[in-house]
Amino acid sequence: MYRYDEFDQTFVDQRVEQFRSQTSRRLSGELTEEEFKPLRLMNGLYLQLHGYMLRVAIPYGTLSAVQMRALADISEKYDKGYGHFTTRQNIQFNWPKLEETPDLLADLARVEMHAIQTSGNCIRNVTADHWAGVAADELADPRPVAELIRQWSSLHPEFSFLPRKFKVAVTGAPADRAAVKLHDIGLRLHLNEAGERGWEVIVGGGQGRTPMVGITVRDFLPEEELLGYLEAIMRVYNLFGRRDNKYKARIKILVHETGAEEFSRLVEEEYARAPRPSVEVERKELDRISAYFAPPAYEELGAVEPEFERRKLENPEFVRWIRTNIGAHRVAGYGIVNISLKPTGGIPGDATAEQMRTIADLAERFSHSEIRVSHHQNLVLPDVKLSNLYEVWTVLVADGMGEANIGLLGDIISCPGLDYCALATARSIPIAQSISRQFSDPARLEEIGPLRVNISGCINACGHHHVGHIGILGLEKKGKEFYQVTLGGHSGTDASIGGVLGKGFSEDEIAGAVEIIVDTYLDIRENDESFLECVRRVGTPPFKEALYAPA
Amino acid sequence: MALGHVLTANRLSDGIVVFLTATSAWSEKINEAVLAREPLAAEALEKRGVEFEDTNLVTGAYLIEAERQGGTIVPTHVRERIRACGPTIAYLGAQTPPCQADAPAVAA
Repeated sequence: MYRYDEFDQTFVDQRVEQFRSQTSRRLSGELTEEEFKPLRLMNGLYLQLHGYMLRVAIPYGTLSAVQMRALADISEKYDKGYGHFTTRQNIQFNWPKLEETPDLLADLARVEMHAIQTSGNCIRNVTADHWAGVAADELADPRPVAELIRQWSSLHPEFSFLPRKFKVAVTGAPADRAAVKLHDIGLRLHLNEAGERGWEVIVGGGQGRTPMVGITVRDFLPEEELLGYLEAIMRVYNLFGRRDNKYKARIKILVHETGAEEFSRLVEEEYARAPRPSVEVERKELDRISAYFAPPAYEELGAVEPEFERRKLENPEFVRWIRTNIGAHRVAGYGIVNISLKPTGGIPGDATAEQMRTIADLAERFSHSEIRVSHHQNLVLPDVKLSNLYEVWTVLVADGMGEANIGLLGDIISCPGLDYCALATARSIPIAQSISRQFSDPARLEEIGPLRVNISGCINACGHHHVGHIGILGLEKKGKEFYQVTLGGHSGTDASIGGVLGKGFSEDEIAGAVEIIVDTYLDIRENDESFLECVRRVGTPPFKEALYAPA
Repeated sequence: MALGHVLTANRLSDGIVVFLTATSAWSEKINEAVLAREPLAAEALEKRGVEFEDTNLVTGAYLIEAERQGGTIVPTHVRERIRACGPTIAYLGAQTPPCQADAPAVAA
C-alpha cells in the first residue's frame, strides 16, 4: 500500500502543529468559536450531540495492521475504547476532548494518518471498491488512481472552497461495489481492444435530500488524461454550482438543472480550453504510485486445499460463513475474508479496541498486513489463504466477529442517527438492532437471500437508505420519531433509487413491517429471484397491500 | 407540571453536554439545572450563557424546553432528552446516564 514520502509526512506533521496552536488559542479565548469552527472542521473535528467527534480519513478504505492497531490505541487513550467505521470507509471517534485532539492527531500522523478534508466543502476522502486489487472479476486495481486523486485533491487551492462537499469513488471491476453512480464523480475502469486503460466518468450522482443516479459524461477517458478532465469538471462546478442555497449546491443539482447534455458540453469546452497538467507528468506519477500497490508475493496453491476441505466437512457453521462471507479472490487458493461488524443486536460498524487489535493480528498473520474498510461498514482481510480460513474464522468467532451475514438482511447499514448525530431527526441504531434481532437466524437469512437494509436517521442519508433494497428513513414529527420505508433502491452497476411505500411506522412497528415485507417477498418470489429482482418485477403494490390493507 | 426552560451548552474543553445550575455553575446532570418558568427568567439565563461563552467555558449555549416530572427535569423534545441522557443504546464506556443521577434536583 501507499507509504508517505517526506513531503506527505512533513505536510501532515506541520498540520498537527498548526492545529495545536489553533486549539490552544481557542482554549485561551484568543480565537472565538466562530473563528475556530472552520479550522477544527478542516481537521475533521465536529461538535456533535454529546461532544466532539473526530472523523479520520482512511484513504480508499485501505489501512495496514500497524494503522489499525494505532486506531485501537487511540480509541483507548482518547476515547471510550471503540470506534465507528462509516459508510465513507472512514472511522469516527465519538468522545475525543478538544484539549487532547492535537495529541491524538500527532499519534495519527505517526502512522501516516490524518483527519484532513473529512469535513468542509472540499474534495473528501476518495472511496474505492473494498475488494480492490484482489477481486476475481477486477480488470485492474483502481487504488493507484484513487491515490493520484487523493494527492491532487489534498489542499488543492482552487478546490478548497467549493459550493459544497465533493465525493469521488473509483472501481476497477465491472460489478460495482463502490457505488460509483451515487457519487459526485464516479470512475469505472474499462479496457479497450488494445488492452489500454480508460475510465468511464460518471457525474452528478448522490443521495441526501435529492437522490440521483449519476450520468456518464465520458465512456472511455484515457487514463493519463484523468486529472486534466477532473479539473475541467471541478472548474465547471466551481463556477456554476449554486452557492445561494446549501441544499441545492451539490454538483448533482447543477447537472440536473443544466441538463446532462449542456453540462457535458460545458465540461468538454473547459477541457479543450484549459491549461492542464502534462500527461507525461501524470503518467510518471501514476507509475510511481502504482509501484506501492504491486501485488504481494502469492504462493502457487491448488484450487483445492485438503485441510480446508476437511474443516468444511467437519463444521457446518464454518461452511455457512464461507458461503456468505468469503469473496472470490483472483489468485487460486486464496479468499477475500469479509468480517461482519453486524452481530445480532449490535451497532453496525462499531468495533472495540480489542476487536481492532484482533483484526490487526489476523492481518499480520494471514493477510499481508493489509485491511480494508467497506462502505457497508464491515472490514476485509483481502489476501487469506483458504487453508488459513478456519483459523481466521475461529479467532473472529471468539471475538464476536464471526457473524455469517455479509450481504444478507442482518448486514444492515446504519448511520449513527440521533444517538450521536447533531443533524439527525431520529435514532437509527436501535432500529438496526431491533431488525437484526428479528432476523437473527442465519438459516433464515440465507433462505431470504441477498437483501440490503439501509437506515438513515435524517434526510442527509448517511445510512444510504435511498439505495437500500429496503430503505428506512428516520423522521420526526411533534417531537416523536417515525420511520419511512422505501423499496427497490440499489447501489450496484444497475443502481436505482428506492420508492416510498406509504405512511411511516413507529419505532416499535418497524421490525414488524420489515417482517411483513420479507414474508410478502417469500410468498411471491419466482424461482431464484432475489428480493431486488422481485421488487423490480412486481413493483410496490403487493407490499403496500400487505402492509397497509385493513386486517 | 408547567413548562419551563433550561440553558444547555457544550463544555469547550471536552465538548461534554452541560446545564446551567442555580449557582451559576455548569453541571453534566440536567436535574441540577435551573428551570426557568417565566420568560424573563429564561431571558436572563440566555444572557448568562453568552457571558460564559465570552469567558470560554462553554460553547453553543441555547435554551431548551423542559418540565419537572417528579424529581427529574425532562426536556420536551426527544433530541434534547437524548442529549441530556447520552446515547439510548448500550455502548462501550457508558456510565450511569447523567439524567438518572441521584443528585437532588435544584429548585428554580
